[in-house]
Amino acid sequence: MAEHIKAKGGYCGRILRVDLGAGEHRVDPLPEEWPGKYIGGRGFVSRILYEEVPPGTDPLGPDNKLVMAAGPLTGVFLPGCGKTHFGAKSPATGGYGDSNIGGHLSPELKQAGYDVLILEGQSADPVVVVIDDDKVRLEPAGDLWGLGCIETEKRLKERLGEEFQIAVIGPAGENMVKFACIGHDFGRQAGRTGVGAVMGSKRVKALAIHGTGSMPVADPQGLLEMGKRMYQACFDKPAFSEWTPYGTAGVTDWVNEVGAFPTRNFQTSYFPEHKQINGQRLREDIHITDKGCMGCPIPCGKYSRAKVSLGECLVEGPEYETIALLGGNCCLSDIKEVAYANYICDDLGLDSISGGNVAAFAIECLEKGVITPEQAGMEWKFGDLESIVHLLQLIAHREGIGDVLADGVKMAAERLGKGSDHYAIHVKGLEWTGYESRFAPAMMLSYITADIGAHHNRSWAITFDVARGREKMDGKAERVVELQHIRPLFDCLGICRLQWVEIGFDLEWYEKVFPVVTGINYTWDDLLHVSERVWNQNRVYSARHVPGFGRALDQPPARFVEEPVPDGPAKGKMITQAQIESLLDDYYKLRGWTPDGLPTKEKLVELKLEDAARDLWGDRK
Amino acid sequence: MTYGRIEVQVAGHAREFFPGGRDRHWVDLAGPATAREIIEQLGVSPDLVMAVFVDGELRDKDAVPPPGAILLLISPPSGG
Repeated sequence: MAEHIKAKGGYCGRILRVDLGAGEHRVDPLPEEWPGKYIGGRGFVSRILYEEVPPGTDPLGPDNKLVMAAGPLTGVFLPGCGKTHFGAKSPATGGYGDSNIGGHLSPELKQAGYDVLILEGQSADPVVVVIDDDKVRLEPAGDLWGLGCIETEKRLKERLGEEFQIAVIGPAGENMVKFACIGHDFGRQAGRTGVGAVMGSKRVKALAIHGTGSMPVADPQGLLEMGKRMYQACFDKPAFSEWTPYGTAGVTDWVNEVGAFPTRNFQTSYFPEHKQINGQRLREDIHITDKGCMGCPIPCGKYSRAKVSLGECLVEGPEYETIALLGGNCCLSDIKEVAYANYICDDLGLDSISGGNVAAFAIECLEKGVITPEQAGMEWKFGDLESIVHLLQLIAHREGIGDVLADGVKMAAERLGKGSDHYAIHVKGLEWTGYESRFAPAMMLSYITADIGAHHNRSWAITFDVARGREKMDGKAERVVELQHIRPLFDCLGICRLQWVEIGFDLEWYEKVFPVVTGINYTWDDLLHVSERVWNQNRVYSARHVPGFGRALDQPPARFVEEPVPDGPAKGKMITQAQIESLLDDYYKLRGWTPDGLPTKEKLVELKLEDAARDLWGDRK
Repeated sequence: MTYGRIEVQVAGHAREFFPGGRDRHWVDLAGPATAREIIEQLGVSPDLVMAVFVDGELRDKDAVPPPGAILLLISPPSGG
């Protein structure tokens, strides 16, 4: 495989850098070898952070960089082409951080003529970064600072025009809450790893992007033909008409039936009231209309209206992860209340996954006497919407105990002490998502080895556990490695994976369409090889930035190896620490890593990451 | 002697766990069988299936499809 290939399409060939401290910008050429070596999106984010954000950088200081990148398939005539990748050194974990978002941002960036936007330095005052084709400027945002995400986006659309695509932070980002997100399109979020806090640290309230150029494509006629066939293939799938009405919320009942639903701060894995917060309740009780990203034939976005005791809201969602973490994990048993808590998170600019985790952690800490009633200021209870909203507000504004909780469960537990680390459900500082995995070895391994911390979308392996036997350990590591290359590849290509994973779209399509768009004749294995390269690069990045990184941090929360599931379909089940270590042994061996979980020099050289090999191992073999 | 033939369609990613990774299968039955039993007959855990449709109607896994029916099996979505 020859990586130094000049792409004929798929890329604008330009990186836009905005120096917020100096108030200047410049355009750099995209290095010619990057498309072949890193593909785009996540791959470009990974490379830029590796080259430009060295160990020792304060994630919330001026030397961190917020990178936004498109992929070669972003914005072209293909199903699911609306994806954008954000990345930065994570304030939540101290290691590699990224988060993906749907909508229309990166297509607009490419139409403006850029593959990548890099925000550097820090502005003295709040600003909006306005990109209007070649015209780039910083506009004062003092009047927007303090506003919620939804109002901010609305005002910017009114001020600049509907044609601008907007990305915003809310009060949580301004206050550098370590799980603050970046919002876009009135309800979509780049939610994870605290990218919103990094944007807030730079005092950037919003990005506003408008472009009028065309998408660069190697074979436009070929793409037209291929695009038509791919859309038709989506429509022809039997799942097409059954999946769309519920979106991701449709999985709620199934996750409960297999005993994997986060409940009561992950104390158990079955929520008896799950049928009150499932996809059917969403569809029948609060749903208004569907909403898709650019080019999407299977819109997973569900616009909803909900009226509860605290008020009324219009919100995109809730999708499954929000139902799991704000619903089951906080024990909210009314879909309207889950939707309202979702709206509060969206408007404050909080990741609803970490938000639900931290709220549940705080309630358990109050129950167990770690947090006092005086610190809490009210009697927080599981299942009580007022408690959840009170907590989210305290956190977003860093008020009182909210200032401690705003750093996420890991750092909060370190400050609170009193054994509260037992209630902190995270990996490497990133809170766990919607699949309780005490009885799902492949899913457990997926979480503890994910490159950003406890996240499900790098390897969603729970169906593999169910299909191949949940007691079994054999073959689980192989499956996780395979998925960790396939799924993040979509984030490099800049395209949504839901067409593949949700309605059974054939992976072969992506191998076929990649050369049509880029002119680069990669096989599927070549593409996976790039994905493996990016995975290893991120591993080295975090190993160099996070003290003690490796096997010692590839570990589940204590609760998951000390407390068997107390009730529900997985009652009595728990993966042992010995089984965890055995899974890690298999996993590291398959990856060509040391028993401590670090990529070997040979593996890095094989992947043509010579600088990473040198940085990690020096002259040692 | 067979009771009847059922067409099984697998929607979504779970198809990879069915024989040959295919999304269409035909099962010959010796007698009435539930959707759950038909899925097991294909060598797959019924837990892997999120929802079952018989001739376009949402049913539970204990439903008995009539001969000639199309049994549509829905994979669990992977969450947002």
